Amino acid sequence: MIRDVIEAFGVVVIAYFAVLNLLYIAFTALAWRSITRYLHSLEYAAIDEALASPLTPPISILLPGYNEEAGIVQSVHALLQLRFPEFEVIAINDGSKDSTLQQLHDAFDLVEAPRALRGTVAHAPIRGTYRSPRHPELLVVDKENGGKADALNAGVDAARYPYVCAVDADAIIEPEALLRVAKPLLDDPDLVVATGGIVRIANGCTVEDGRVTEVRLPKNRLATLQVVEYFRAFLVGRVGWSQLHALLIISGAFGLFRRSTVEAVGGWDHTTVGEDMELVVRMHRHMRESGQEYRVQFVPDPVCWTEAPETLKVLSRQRRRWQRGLFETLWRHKRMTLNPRYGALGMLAMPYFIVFELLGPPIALLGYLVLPISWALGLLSWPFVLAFFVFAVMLGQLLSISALALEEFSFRRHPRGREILRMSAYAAIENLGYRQLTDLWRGVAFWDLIRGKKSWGDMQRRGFQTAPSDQLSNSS
Amino acid sequence: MIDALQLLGGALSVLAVATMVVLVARRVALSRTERRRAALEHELTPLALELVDGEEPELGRLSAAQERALAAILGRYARKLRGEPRDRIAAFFEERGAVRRELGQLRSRRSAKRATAAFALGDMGALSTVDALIGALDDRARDVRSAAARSLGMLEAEAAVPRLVESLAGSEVPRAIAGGALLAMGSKAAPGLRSLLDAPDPGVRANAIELLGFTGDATDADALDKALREDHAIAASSWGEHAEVRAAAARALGRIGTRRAAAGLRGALNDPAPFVRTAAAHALGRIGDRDAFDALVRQASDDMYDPAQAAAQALAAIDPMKAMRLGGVEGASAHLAEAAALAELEPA
Repeated sequence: MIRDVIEAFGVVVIAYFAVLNLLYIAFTALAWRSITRYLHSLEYAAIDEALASPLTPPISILLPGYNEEAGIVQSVHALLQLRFPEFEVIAINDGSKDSTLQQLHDAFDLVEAPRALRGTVAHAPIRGTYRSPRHPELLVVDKENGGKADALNAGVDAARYPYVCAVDADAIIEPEALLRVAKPLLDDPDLVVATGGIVRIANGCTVEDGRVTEVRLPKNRLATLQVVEYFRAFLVGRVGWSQLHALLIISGAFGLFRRSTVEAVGGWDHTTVGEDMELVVRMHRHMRESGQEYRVQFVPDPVCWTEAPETLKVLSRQRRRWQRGLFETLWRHKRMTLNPRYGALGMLAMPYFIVFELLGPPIALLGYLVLPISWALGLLSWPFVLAFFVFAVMLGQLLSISALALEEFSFRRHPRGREILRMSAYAAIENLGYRQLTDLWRGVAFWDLIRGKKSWGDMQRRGFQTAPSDQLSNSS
Repeated sequence: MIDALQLLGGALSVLAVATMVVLVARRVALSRTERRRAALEHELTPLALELVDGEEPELGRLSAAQERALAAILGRYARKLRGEPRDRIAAFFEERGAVRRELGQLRSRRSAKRATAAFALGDMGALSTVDALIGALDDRARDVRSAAARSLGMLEAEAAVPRLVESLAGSEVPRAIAGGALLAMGSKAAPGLRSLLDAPDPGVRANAIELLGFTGDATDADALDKALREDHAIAASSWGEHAEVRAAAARALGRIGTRRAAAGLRGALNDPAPFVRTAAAHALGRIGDRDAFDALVRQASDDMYDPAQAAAQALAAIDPMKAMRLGGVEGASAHLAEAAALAELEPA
């Protein structure tokens, strides 16, 4: 009986592996096609003309911060210098216990100035709003602590403009990133409800005045592994899903949303740790259920830089949190799964995320557990296991290197030639240990869920201080 | 099975190594090309400057690489120049046969080539290409239409204005590009835009009015005022559809800044469409119409968020002292309080 079960499990694992990798290959092909087209269209996008155009819709940038006294002033300065025709920066102090608000006061000579609120989304009480005589486009909102989602909702409530851009306080946004992420709005303002851009890792880069001035690979090995991982996740995964009109995630570190749609769905949900993914799924659901035509689009070019965890402890916490967020979102919106009413979203994206992203890690862990049992029962053909393992690793390496090739043939943000070799080496070795480790952490997240660990509480406890707060997966 | 797996694994590893080699080799080749291009541009920049200055330099026989480098420099200059220097660049491209070549490419079967050609023709600045570029606005590929629109703007092709506005209204060309092209023409676009004020399609009319707000002048006030009141002439059933026209007219009047249409704008504060009321309030703030003050106070006190906020901003702009007094009173609406704070921060 046990032998039959284990043999059947082996067949399931091989089939699972085959389907997953076929999907990865398909996504890589889709991404190549899409990015090639995007780069070509960029030549005629007239970004510079749009930059100066008063026809570009204005944007409210929302910058939530909790205990960010060290970097909040620099972040606000960097955002005020973004190249965009008309925007406002709304910095939201989410009940910080440190001197975040005082730092803002001192740096921008803030004066109390009431701001009428829309009252369209719920959030913790606002204690006061402040403006700067030197920067009329800056609004500071001081509110009681409620978490990042709650702070973003307060920002929406105070936003003046029809689009809101959510930015992490520790993210570095490139000067033209806002314009590029807004390009789909310029092209199809009636259709596009949300857009997101690529997140890259700032470890190792030189940062001056809130800007990345020199791009270099991190010295830390764990962070370098994540550089390659991010290429795969953003350049392949998100571009592919966007092409299929089934993009479920827009990074919480940098995402642009139509304000009226955010309001219509009730804003960000503060009861989940994956509030960025949950909002996008809810927006999809709302638009589909109300029968409106829409697009949620990923733009591979705009760059948001963020610092990646450099220790196993912090990385593990981050991945477990992301996995919990994924579970919460998929569970809340389970009705969409395999429901043709939701198109590619219900029929493709939701099943994919359940089968491969949510259940993938436990299945992999089960596989590692079954291996010694099979060996003990004499069911294992070692030459086959070895050949399969080598094949799996080689395929993984090729897929990682093809994501790296995609970056090299498109954006080429790492100017140093020798870094290609280093990234290639890391693309090769990430399949030997790193992936298994992340599977382990993501598997452990189920234990967190069973224990009832449902949220990260206030924003201070967001894993690594400068990590992105969105779900990153092999194909997300 | 094991043999097949081993074979496939080996093949994949060879492929991975080959990809790595290609990446490195490509990076080396790109660096070399970039160095050569920079050196050529450095060498040819004085020549390009002489050409733009009308000094008729001796070009002699240029290699294909030199020709490309010189064209790239002149193309960049052309984007920033107008008048005679620009005409000289156009003449250069025509004489060297580049314009003819690109016009030929505009008929290519590959959309990428057509788009590249349409884009390059704008940089070359030859007015003889306007008709071909207007024709390219009907191309089946959006990239080609976009590139053609941008080039027509660079050429300040007045004849293209009606077709560009249609492309904009019909979303055939992204709004940023078609609008940007029309704005790039400046006042030269105004006559074409005026001719569209009676267009049957409200979308075309709204876009033409919006752009006239940037390119027109005070003489357009009466026509824009008429557009602001055009609801009187249309059936009640299609009244909503025309709200965009009224909002565009209000914005345009605000931008032009004439007080001749202030009465019409004050009337628009009662428009049923909230975004028309918003646009009217902003416009009245811009032109500083004191007669609208009381109506704006009412709007800031009782209206929906966007029109009320626009009214608050207008109040702070029209009479900051009075706005401060009104907003400072206990029980003042949130928008009036905001108006007071705005007035205090940005005194007129």
